[in-house]
Amino acid sequence: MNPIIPARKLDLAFAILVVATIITWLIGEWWEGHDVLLPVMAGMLTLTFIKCRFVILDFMALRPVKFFWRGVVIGWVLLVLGLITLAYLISLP
Amino acid sequence: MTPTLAPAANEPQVAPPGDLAIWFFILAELLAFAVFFAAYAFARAKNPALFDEMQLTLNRDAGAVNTLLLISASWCVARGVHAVVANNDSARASRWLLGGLAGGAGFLVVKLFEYAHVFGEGITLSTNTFYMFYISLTFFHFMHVILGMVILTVLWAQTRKGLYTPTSANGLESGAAYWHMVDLVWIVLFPLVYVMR
Repeated sequence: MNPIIPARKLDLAFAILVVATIITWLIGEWWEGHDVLLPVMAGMLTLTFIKCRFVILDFMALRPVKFFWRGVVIGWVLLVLGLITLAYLISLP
Repeated sequence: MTPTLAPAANEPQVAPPGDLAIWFFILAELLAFAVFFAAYAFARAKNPALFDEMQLTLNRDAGAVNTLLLISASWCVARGVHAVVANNDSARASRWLLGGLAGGAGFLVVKLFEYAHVFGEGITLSTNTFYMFYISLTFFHFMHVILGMVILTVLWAQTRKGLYTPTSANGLESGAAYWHMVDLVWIVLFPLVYVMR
């Protein structure tokens, strides 16, 4: 038997991903004309993490899988977002 | 094909869906993209003014539309796998996979329009550091989408023939996992290149 994520959960993940993408796009539009850095950056990275988590747990169907596999892929997201954050902090005046 | 072991109640599965080998391949791909993303972020840290200025020349709307297209394609593929694994419904699954293919094709079309605009402006890899990263990073991902489309086409053809069943869907699940990886990478790429300032 294969791990099964219920269809309702897949649809919910899709809806959340769409909303989060639109919010990310709106952040980009707003950010262009404003000089606010860290709070917006934190919000954008949090949204990105949430989106990645839904793809990993529901679309990739890693939710019912042993923690090791979820941990490795979610760890990849945390590593990448952590490095981006570090580089961003270095770039601040 | 080895079917995944059935879990006891409330006990997590041992292995992820699909072949174990595809997961090692996915992790290797993710590692390559991680290096690319880190290189972009630290190159930007050295010259944020240039990256912010050049980012304004990109079409953020196209980037957002492409994110929505890839997310939709991933959702369609996940529903396609679900149709086979949960309902043993190959006809419905093949329609979902066709939806995934449409989303991937839409992504490629939008990206080609973006590239046509960029190259039409005379921009090349050597224009500046930002465009060196933009072109190489997005093209690297573009090639992965093309490979994903080839895989999805094979999966669609196999599914139409009814070759996957709830107890024998490893090929379908492996291809789907690769496609979701392509989506996952773009979900990080979009805010990093098109939004972050």
